[in-house]
This record gives sequence, structure tokens and C-alpha cells, in this order.
Amino acid sequence: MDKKNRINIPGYAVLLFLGLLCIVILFYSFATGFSGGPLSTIADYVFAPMQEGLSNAGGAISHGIDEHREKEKLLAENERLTARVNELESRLTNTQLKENELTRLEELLKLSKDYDQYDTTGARIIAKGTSNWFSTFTINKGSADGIKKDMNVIAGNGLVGCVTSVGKHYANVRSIIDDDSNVSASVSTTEDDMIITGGIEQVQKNGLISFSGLRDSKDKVKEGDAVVTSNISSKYLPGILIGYIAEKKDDTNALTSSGTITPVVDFSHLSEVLVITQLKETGK
Amino acid sequence: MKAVYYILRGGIICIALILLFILQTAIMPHLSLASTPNLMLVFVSMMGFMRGRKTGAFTGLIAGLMLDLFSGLLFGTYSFIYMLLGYLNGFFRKIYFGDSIRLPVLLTAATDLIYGFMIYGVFFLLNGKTDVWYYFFNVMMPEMIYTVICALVLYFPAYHLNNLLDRIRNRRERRIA
Repeated sequence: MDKKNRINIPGYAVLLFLGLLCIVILFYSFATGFSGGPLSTIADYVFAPMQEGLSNAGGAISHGIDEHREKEKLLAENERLTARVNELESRLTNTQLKENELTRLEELLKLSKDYDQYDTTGARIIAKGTSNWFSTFTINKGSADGIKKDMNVIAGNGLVGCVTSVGKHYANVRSIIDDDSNVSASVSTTEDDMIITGGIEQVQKNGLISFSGLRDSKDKVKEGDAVVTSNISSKYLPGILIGYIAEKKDDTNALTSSGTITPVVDFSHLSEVLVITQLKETGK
Repeated sequence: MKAVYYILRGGIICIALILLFILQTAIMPHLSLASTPNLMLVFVSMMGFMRGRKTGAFTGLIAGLMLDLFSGLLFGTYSFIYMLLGYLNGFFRKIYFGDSIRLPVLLTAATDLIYGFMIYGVFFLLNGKTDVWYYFFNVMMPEMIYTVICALVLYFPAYHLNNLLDRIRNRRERRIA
């Protein structure tokens, strides 16, 4: 065998070359916000369609397993929920009375203004995150369906996260329980601002996300108060429900408080989400 | 003519990676027990110690690029980590003979732990999350155990794939000689 005919590149040279290539890519994406570019076209035609089909199959399997396990749980839950419905119905009549009064008074004051209604588009989750360390997922709609980077994603009536990168027929979403996620939020009752930070440690321990920097000098914010996205946030549209305060304690600086929030979205059982097709106007 | 064989081998590895990627992101989340296995890393590690440093590094780079497309992290992060791990696994080719499953199990376990510590170091420790033991027992260990179990299953297809790649290379060398 003639060895001379083979080009023998030493291993360390390959490492050096590929290492430098990666570092160049890292710097380039840091400087320009590059997230795939031409490569995402390949992903459009190879990954997204197959993931969509297989995710359905996988869902069917786990659905079958879960079904047996869930049945007993559902019966107990049904009983509990019936009681809850009765309780809520009585409360609803009360609220309806108050609402009637409110409309009447608003008409008097000519204050009638609807809460902001956002246009949404539904999307299915076709793949879950690329590692156990981060809470990201991929949805089956992309730039062809009008999805853009930084659009907000909700499920039910709660905030899920925001879009981090977009391909033609898929988009990646980072959820608010991810360690990399920071959301500027405010308490709905007092409108005090705070920062909500995700983290797997809190989420795994008790399903909560933590908040910090809440200025509440008069100690009016209580446990159970609703927390919504703030109007000073740079990415999130104002007034989207995030969760309810679970625990609050004063920081050692005696100026701010921090604690934990119970999110309204059940992040472990997400399969469909809504994307708000409206970007926050930041004046840029 | 030589290029054809390189492309053929690269293509086979790419197809295997694509299948594993889809398996890992679309099906495994439905079958996860406390954690999802890192199939891509298993394959990168196996290609490393079965075929050497260069193939390991290239397989790692391609696997990393796929993950980067869907990760939402800085583009290139996974490429770098996986490429490095594939390369490091290549050093063990000298003591891999394919007759025992002990080395593959040990190497995939070690690779997954090193990967865990790398991610922890870059994205968690530097963000002020210093409770390393919590992350070790709740994220790294479950992932490692599940990954090793999957590595046992994945070892045999990878073993045959390696033989196939060997045959392709031998055919080329025979033709040159």
C-alpha cells in the first residue's frame, strides 16, 4: 500500500483548525446575532417535517402509558373540581353584578376602554430542548407564517416565553423557566416592578420561578397577588399574566424584596402554544 | 476518486446524526424519566474511540452545529463542546478492540459527565449558581445514567456502522494498491 499517496494531516492540526473555526463562529454570532443563517434552510427541509411527524408518534406512545396512570387521579380531581365549580359559580354571580355596575359607571365617565387584545396564532411543539440544562423548545411555525424573533409565546392565559430564533417553518422558543431568561414584571395590584428569573434548581425543587428587586416599601404586596409582564419590558408586551406570588421575603438591604412565583402555565405538559403576532414597540 | 470515499463516509455519519437528533428531540422527551438521554453525545464519543481523533472531532462539530440551530444559545457553543469531546475520545482508540463493552460504557459515562461540568461551568457557575452538588445529583447524574443505558443499546448499531466504514476505507485502499 503506498502511504505516500495519502495526505496525512496530524490530529492536533485538525483540532486547532476546528477549534479556531468554532471560536470564529462564536464571536461572529455574538457580534451579529447570527443564529444559523443558511444552515437553517437545511433544518427547514430535514428536521422540522420529520420532527413534527415523530413527535406525534411519540406523543401517542406516552399518551397510552399515561392514560392508565391518570384515570384514578382524574376521578379524584373531578370530585375536587366539582366542588370548586360550585364555589366559583356563586362567586361569578357576585362578579357579574359588580361588572354591571362597572359598565354603568364607565359609561357615565366615558372611560370604556377594552384591555389590549393581542392577535395570536396557534402552534404545536414539535421538539423539546437540546439538553437537560435548558428549557427551550421548537414550534412548527416560522417566518413563512409571520413569526419573528422576540415575539411572545403564551399558553392558556399565561406567559410561556419568547422566540429566540426563526427558520422558515420552525421557530425556537426559550421559556421563562430557563436559566437564561429574565422578564421584567409588575404586581397587578400595586404596579411595583420586579425581575423574574428562571432556573432549573427552583423549578425542579417545587415548580416555582424566582423574582427579585421588588420595591415594596409599604409592604402592600401579599402572597397570592397576580404578577403580569411590565410595560417597561423591552421584549414582552404589557399585561400578560405570569403567575401568582408564592413567597415573599425582604432582602438584607431593606429596600427590595425577593421570593418565588407559581407560574400559571404547566411547563411539563405543554403541547400547543399561542404566539402573539405583534412585537413590542420599543421606539428603536 | 479519493474524495468520493470521504464524502460517502461523511454522508453515512451525517445521516446517523440526523436520525439520532430527531430521536433525541422529538421522541425521547415523551419517554423521559427525570431526564432525557444525550444520544448525540454517545454517538460522537463512539465515533471518537472507534475511528480516532479526526473523525471524532468532525462528528462532534456536525452534531454541535445541529444542536446550535435549535438551542437558542450563542451559535457555536455546542459545536465547540462536542468537537472537543469527540477529539478527546479519539485518544482511546489505541485501547479499543471492540470485544468488550466495558470501555464504551466507561467512556460514554465520563464524556457525559465532562459535558455536564462544561455546561455547568460556562452557563451556571459564571451566572452565580454555585451549588454544584445540587446540579451534580439532579441534572448530571440522572442524565449520565440514562445516557449509559442508551449507550448500551446504541453500541451495537454503532459497532456495525464502524465495520461498514472500515469496509469502505479498505475498498479504497485496495483500489489504490
